[in-house]
Amino acid sequence: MRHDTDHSGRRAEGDVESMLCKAVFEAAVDAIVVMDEAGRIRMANPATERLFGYRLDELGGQDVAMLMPEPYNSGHGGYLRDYLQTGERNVIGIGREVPARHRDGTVFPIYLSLAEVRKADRRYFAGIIHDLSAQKAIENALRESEAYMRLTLEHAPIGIGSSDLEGRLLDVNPAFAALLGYAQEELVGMRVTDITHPEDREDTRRQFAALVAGEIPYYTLQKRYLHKDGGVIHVRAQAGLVRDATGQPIRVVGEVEDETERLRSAQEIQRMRAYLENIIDSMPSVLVGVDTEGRVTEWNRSAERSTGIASGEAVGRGFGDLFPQLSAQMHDVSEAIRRHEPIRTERLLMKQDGETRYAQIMVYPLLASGAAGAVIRMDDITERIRIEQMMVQTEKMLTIGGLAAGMAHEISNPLSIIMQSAQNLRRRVAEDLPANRLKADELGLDLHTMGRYLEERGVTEFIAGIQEAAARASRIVADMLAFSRRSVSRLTPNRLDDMLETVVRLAASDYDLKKHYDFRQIEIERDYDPGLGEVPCDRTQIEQVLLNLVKNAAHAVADAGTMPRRITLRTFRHDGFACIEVEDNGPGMDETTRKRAFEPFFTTKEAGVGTGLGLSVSYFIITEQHRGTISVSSRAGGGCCFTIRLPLAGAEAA
Amino acid sequence: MNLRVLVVDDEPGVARSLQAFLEDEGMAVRSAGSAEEALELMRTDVAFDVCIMDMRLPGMHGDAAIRCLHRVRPRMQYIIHTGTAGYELPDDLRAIGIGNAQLFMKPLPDMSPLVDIIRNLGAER
Repeated sequence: MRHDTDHSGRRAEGDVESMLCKAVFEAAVDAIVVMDEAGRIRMANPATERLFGYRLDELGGQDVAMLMPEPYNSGHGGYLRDYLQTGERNVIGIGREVPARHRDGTVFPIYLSLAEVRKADRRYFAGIIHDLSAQKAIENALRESEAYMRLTLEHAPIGIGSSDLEGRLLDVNPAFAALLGYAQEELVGMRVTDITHPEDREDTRRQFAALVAGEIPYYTLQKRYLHKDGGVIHVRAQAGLVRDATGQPIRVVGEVEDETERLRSAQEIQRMRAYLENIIDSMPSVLVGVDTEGRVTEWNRSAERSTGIASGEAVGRGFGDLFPQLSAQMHDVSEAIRRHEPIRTERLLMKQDGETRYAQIMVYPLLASGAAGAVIRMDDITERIRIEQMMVQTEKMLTIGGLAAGMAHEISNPLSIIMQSAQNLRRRVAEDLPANRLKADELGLDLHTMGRYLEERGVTEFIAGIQEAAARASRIVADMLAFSRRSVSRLTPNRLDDMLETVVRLAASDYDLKKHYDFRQIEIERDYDPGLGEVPCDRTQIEQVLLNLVKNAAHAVADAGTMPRRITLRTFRHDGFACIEVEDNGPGMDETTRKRAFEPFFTTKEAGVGTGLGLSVSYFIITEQHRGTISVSSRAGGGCCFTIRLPLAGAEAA
Repeated sequence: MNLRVLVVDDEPGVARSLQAFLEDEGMAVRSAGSAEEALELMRTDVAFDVCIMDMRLPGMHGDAAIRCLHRVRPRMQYIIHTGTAGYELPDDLRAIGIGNAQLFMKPLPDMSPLVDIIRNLGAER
């Protein structure tokens, strides 16, 4: 704005100029106040009214100080005076920022420029006042915002930085520098790719370029940085573009979060979860987790095996549907949760494929906060119960054995009478005994005819029946007596292969004698470990056991009818034990027979063939007398195999 | 000369059947129902070559009887025929020459082995 105070022009032109000046004065957006040397307001334009809230008539003749706040209002007269006396300029022709005062007392910033006007010997000053309120407000807001940003950047826990469009870092916050192990100044000027792991550089470059090209508004990358010390830092980086007022991209701003810890804990959680699952799956027990409604939440591998239902199918379904036999146990679940203690069900009888099995069920309430529900553990204890039952049977046999020892003497006498009398009977009806012939002649009896009579009336057969029955009774007594010999017999060193050979000879003669089977038709395959040496054992007892096994094997292969009939005998050393195997290629044993094989009085032979005690006596001899083990297993493709393990160190005296 | 055998057994059926079998083998057999009876017989009768002795007898026990008889007739041989399970020969009886081969457990399904031993023992005398 220019004030032309030159009045030397022509009159008409002077009138036009005067009108123009007035119009400018009236229309100016800035307030214009004219004052005299004394600081009294002589003129003010309408903008002054708007700016200061005074009417023009209120201003005329008033001290201009009314428009200034303390201390300026009192100081104003001062510096105006100073200027008049010294000619030292303060505001005149320069302009400066000063505060102004509105009629209502509010102080607001203005830009004041003063023009000096001389008319005759008097001086006037024209003050042009530009309201700075809006601009100041913006400036303040900007300053506050910057301070806020600065503070945020300084203390942000995440790394924040910016780079130019080529990816050179312009500034980074302390967190960014700390993450990478550099000082803030060191990073300025470095390229983003310099601090990026080589394998992630290409990815970063591509995303950065797309961002700068405006193809994407921002990008997020799971990437790795390189620490100053060379270490790898896993981060989640996000970058966006800053544009200027015209929309031109000027810089890229990025935020970087350290993921190392999060990834590590995620991995740790994953590892822990896998580990726990492994534990749960490795349990031989069926483990099923249920919620309070009885819906399955966890289903381990044993549960899969036992039901044939995969975990994925089972989870979410009702426990009762999956284990119909255990629907009654659902009551235990709510009961266990309510009482905060496990509930056990022993020996739950279950039918599986027509076989009787026993299960033990434990219901454990989940006690950890927020996890209402229970874990159901189910174990098949059929085997344990069978062994318990067998132990009870064996104990019974020991008791019976003790009784038998006492009774043996009483029984042996009547048996002696029966056997010896039967033998005499046979002999005294025979034709060839001289004493018989002598007596027969004396009585006039034809021995030959009598012999035919006895034969044809079946008397000879009856006598044979008496002999066989008595022999059987005496075997039963002898077997029962075996149970009464609790003391450890004398163990002497013996070669197992020698004993097996003795037994094979005994078995052969036994079979020849009975003519039931031809033992010579059975192939005996020998697989002896020559290095086994001598094993401490009671020779008689072990031979008794082996004879029993070989005879059983011979029965088995004879029954099977498969050719060739074969019995395999093995000795070997294993784990501090001397082992003997007697294997046959007979029909094998079904599961039930295998499990009950050692039970006293359990026999698969027809009545009268065995006492049902052979294997239980063997079991007793091996386990009780020798502290060894005996077991039977079925062989694929038929046949079964008995394995005896005798401690090489010998059994300690019981 | 026929072998002379003394059977000591309190069970008459056992004694009788043994006696019958041995007599059929041509031996001269007497029997006694107790150790005391056997000792009495020994005082009045001829010497026996072999004595088949039961162990569990009323009154004097079988092995005590053998000790007494051995003092009276040191040349007589013995066979022990017992129904006591797990019977083991006392050392002093082993000392007078009784071995495991002379130990027979009741009941005997076949008496022939007894005959063989008696013949052997008789021959040794």
